Amino acid sequence: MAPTLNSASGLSILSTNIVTSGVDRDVVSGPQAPVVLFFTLAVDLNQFTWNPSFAFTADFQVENYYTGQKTNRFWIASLNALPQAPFLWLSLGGAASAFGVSTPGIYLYRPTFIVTAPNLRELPPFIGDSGFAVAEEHFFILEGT
Amino acid sequence: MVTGEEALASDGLLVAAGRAPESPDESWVPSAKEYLDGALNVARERAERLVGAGEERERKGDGANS
Repeated sequence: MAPTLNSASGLSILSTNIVTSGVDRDVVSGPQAPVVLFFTLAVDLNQFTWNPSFAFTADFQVENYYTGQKTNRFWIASLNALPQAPFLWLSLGGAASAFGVSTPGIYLYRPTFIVTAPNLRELPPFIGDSGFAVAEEHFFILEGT
Repeated sequence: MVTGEEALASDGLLVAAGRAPESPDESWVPSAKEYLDGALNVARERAERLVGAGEERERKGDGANS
């Protein structure tokens, strides 16, 4: 059986948090409630250089558990946009409806993080390769009105 | 399908990042939350300005048509 991988090349998502209306909880009060989706990321600094030519894509994916409808919100930038540290948090904040959370019910938040390495292997000093990390599913509920 | 930071901001969404402690626990969430509460206020103000600008354009458009 093929192994199930949820990370590769020195990247892993350690935890996820949902802060809504100023509280770290998994109950969203309505489609217009402010929601901040977090995840914490561990980076092996021996495998990635903070170089403008390295790009990252953070996807703050939210799925309606009943319909399977997914809303992907991508943050794409140079790795230099992030602090150079072995442990980071990233977040995306806005109204719940902006994440596709508008019908009362159960949703799941599952971020992913990708680093795209440039093809510079011939140019020293090159460190690293493309890598990715996928979080565990984090369920939450949108209350009915 | 792919959106960047500016597109996210135009939808009233704001990104942020920071250093996390080696063993993330509850303690890092409040400081991040305070920052993001401020960021959300900025997003809300931007959205209100955009809506206001749109209404203003509509009014001017109506005026031009009348």
